[in-house]
Amino acid sequence: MKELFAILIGAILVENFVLSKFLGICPFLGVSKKTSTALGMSGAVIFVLVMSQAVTWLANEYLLKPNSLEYLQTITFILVIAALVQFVETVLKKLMPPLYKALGVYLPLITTNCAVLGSALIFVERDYTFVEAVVFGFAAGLGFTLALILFSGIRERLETADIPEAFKGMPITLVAASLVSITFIGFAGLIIG
Amino acid sequence: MFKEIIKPSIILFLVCAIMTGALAYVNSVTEPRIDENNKIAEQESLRNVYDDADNFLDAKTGEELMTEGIDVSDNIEKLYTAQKGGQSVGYVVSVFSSGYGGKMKILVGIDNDLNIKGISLVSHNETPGLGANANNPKFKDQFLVEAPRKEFNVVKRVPNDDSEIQAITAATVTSKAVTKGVNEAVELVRSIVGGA
Amino acid sequence: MAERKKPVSVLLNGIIKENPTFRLLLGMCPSLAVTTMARNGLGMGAAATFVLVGSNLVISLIRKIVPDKVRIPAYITVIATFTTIVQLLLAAFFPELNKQLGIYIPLIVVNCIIFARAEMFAQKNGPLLSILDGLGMGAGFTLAITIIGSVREILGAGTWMGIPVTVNLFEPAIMFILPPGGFLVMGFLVALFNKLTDKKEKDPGCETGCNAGCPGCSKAANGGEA
Repeated sequence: MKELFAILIGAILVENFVLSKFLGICPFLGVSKKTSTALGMSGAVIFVLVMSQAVTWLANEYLLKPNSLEYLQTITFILVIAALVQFVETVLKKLMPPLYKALGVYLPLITTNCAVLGSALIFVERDYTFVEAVVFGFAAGLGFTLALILFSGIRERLETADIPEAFKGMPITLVAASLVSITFIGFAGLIIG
Repeated sequence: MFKEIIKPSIILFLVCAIMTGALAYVNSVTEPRIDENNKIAEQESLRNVYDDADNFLDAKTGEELMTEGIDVSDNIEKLYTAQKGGQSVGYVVSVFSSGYGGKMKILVGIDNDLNIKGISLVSHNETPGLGANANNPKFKDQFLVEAPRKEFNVVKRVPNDDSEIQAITAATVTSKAVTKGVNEAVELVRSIVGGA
Repeated sequence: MAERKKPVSVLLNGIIKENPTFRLLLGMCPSLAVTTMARNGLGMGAAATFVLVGSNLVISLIRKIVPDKVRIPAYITVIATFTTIVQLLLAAFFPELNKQLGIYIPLIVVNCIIFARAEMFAQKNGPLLSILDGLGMGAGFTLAITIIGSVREILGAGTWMGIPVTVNLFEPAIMFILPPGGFLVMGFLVALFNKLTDKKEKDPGCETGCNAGCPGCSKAANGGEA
């Protein structure tokens, strides 16, 4: 249990996916303009991450490892993720239209989100158990959400600030991200013993 | 019906099959080389902490050691036997420890007389410039003594004797974590060679 | 509207005019993660270029055979295959670089650049032009991340490609090698690029179906409307 808790806090704060590991940057920079879209994307990411960790772990454990097909990990994982996203989209559309309206448009964007594939590659690297992998995915999603929400707040402020022409848009966003990233460094050392 | 479902499926299947086939080929060609590289890297890292050994036997994991009746801490990953001229002269222990940036792996070379031959941080997330300096001789070399009767202790001043390790300034957590790992490694070897 | 593209212009396009890193803002994840040293930037760039050229070529070759319905999974399979090939080649012949780049090598498969170019170019052009586009974009990417890596390495460790350069000029600031430094340097370099080329960011072309969620994609930023 203590191990799981450490994984949870670790992924959210100490090695925050976006601000520390640089996973999930593309949507982070692209979708954090408005807090409402940030929330939508975050929800979709957590949703997909948890499921993809579960499915990819099972595929790795029962399909790839027993047959010494580890080299097919990349291709298997990404296809699983793409299929999962497709599946989730279809199911949501049919069974839960309001949820689909809220999250649906972000779903296709998640397939190429480094954070999803990254989480899978990490559980392989660290040899996590099924539960550890899923908790890790959930935590990664939460960390992503945290970074995204913090950031959208900042960006909404930036919209009305006076910025040099060359910095408008992406550059100033990156500089702002740099500052937020510094604050997260303060969390290192949280997990001891 | 054919055009709608069967044809696209067949084509997709063919694409997948051809791509996977190409991959299997590349894999078979590179696999021996990759295994070789891994072995070399492993031997190198072991020699790094035990430089006068000429061979290392395949490692036993923590679990395997437990079935042999040896009491092993959870943090022990593997035990390698170091040999020189065909004779076992000592061991290299790979042990985990929780550092500042998370779990880190330490290799400790210890001979049969419980002298520490070398230590090395092989994977870690410690802060560059601070905790990461644990891999510098200035800190590591403090351990190159005969293992103390009880254990190594971390102090923040100049050490009084060999059992005291001076912490890296502003990196006490890392220093303590490394020391803990070394202590556990020593404990394991001690229980095997039966030192006093 | 099939304009006759000149091979040379296709090649040079990816280097300045539509530089994937500084203009299209694609492939941010590896650009920030591996650029702690110039050498890593170079290595990653080379690996990505390999995948880019390979996938562009194959996709261009099969573009008329693959039905639209299964287009995406087919492209993903192709890109993933080339990514794995590069993974294996690196592990076999460049183990040191492989260790440095870590999980970012397999992450090439989700590098927006590759998918975006497949959708935007390889799908609509012949094999030769597609190869050139792959080379150009790859070169642009490599150039960009090697520059980023160089800046971070010089300011953060005082070396370039491992050779000490700043020796007594100033004390290197570790921060540049850490994540915040990555964001900061990238931000400044993009601003610089904007200033020098005097243009604004270009939309990587989301209207044509790039579901990649890339930073410049206004579709995602506005919650689904273009």
